Amino acid sequence: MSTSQEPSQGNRSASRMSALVTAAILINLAGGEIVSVLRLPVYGDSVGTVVAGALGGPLTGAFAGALTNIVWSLLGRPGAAAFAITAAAIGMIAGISAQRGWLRTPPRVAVTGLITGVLAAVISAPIATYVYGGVTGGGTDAVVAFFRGMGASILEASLGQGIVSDPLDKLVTFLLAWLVLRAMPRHLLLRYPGGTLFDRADPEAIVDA
Amino acid sequence: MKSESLARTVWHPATSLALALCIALVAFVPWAAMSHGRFAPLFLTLIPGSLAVWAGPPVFARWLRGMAIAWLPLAVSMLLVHGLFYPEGIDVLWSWGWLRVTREGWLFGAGLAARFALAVSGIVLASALHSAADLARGLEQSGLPLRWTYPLRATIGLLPAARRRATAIQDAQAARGLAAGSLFQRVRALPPRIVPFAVGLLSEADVRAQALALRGMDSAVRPTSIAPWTDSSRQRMLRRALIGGGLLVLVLSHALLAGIAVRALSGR
Repeated sequence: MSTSQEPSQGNRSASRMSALVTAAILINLAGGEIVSVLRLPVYGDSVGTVVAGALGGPLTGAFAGALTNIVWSLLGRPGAAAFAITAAAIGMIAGISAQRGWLRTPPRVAVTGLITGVLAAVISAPIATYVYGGVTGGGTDAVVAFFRGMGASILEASLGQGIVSDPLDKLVTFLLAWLVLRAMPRHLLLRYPGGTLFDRADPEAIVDA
Repeated sequence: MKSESLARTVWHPATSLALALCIALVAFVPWAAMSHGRFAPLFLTLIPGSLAVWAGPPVFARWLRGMAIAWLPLAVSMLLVHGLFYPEGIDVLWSWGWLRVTREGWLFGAGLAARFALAVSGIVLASALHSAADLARGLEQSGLPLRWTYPLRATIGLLPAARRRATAIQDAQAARGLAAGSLFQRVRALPPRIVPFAVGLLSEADVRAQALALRGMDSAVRPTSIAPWTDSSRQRMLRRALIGGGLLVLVLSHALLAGIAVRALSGR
């Protein structure tokens, strides 16, 4: 049981991981709304997925990402389910990145975010092409229309749109997730398997900006 | 709870979700490759629509509203983008600078919109019949592992409180002068709004994890549910048939199309 575990060990019990995934989904949903209220040109809806991946590992991150899109589909955005694969990939990349130490300093976090954005665009493009014909009903459709107007195929236009918007979004997302991990109390961090990687008391771990 | 008593007690939420999955799979049959098949999905949308009518006027009203929200904006986008920007189009109906309205573009956009109508009609029906919390609980009851279904159910239950807290944090930050202004100001306002909100949720997650462990979530024995839905062996069979049938139709239709294409190429 999680209560009997030494905090420094962290644990992967179903109860701890389920609670982490629940918090991650709520952060994703509210994060997207906060970004939308601030009228910023990013989605900001995967901060929780990155945090879950960093703390719980790649599979927990993937699970948090995929479930976020399923919750959206149950809450009136049915089309979101199609992108559950992309969301899962983001969580998995976040988990692997954290394990390899790529989320320790802001410059590394920024580069990881940018790379994740490109990968997310590459994964999303065939889904957007096959499921939606490249059009997703958002403001980014204007970018798709621009590329189509230039003569690009639907797949090329979807990929172009993703390359234009996703790296910036994931750069912001990963930096926000890093700030969240940095702001977490130490005793809370150490409850999770990946928490030691962000323990400020450990000289090998996180570095201040 | 919003769903009607008949739908709630007779029709299990997991069956509604299985039907939604089956309909979504059928939507991706290559309809456009069949002669006059492009708009067939739109006619098939009448099936979930009829089920909504059968379930009663409130369900039908919710289904119509759900379709209007989930489908209409996307359908308009599909028609506009492909109607006006379709470089593969040959039959030009009107052109002005970059904008070229082509027959092929309109047909492609309309076909996509028809397919998407069918794809979402099932899940919109499920949402009209049951609340999101009931759908999540239905999945839990259908035998899926608790660690998969708990986050779904808990998120839907906790979302209103989380939204209230996010709004309170935003209001507090705005009162301190971190209001929206230039793009730079808005970017600077983002971390003070998201970080405290996220750390608060993660702190609660720690307490929630301990509560879940005490309630036996980590044990191999599943807790008994008191949800009132009737689940019968017939409904369980129906769920398997819907998902299996949907997959079969999708795979067979694509295999048939690939076979026809290979034969056409080899005969050339």
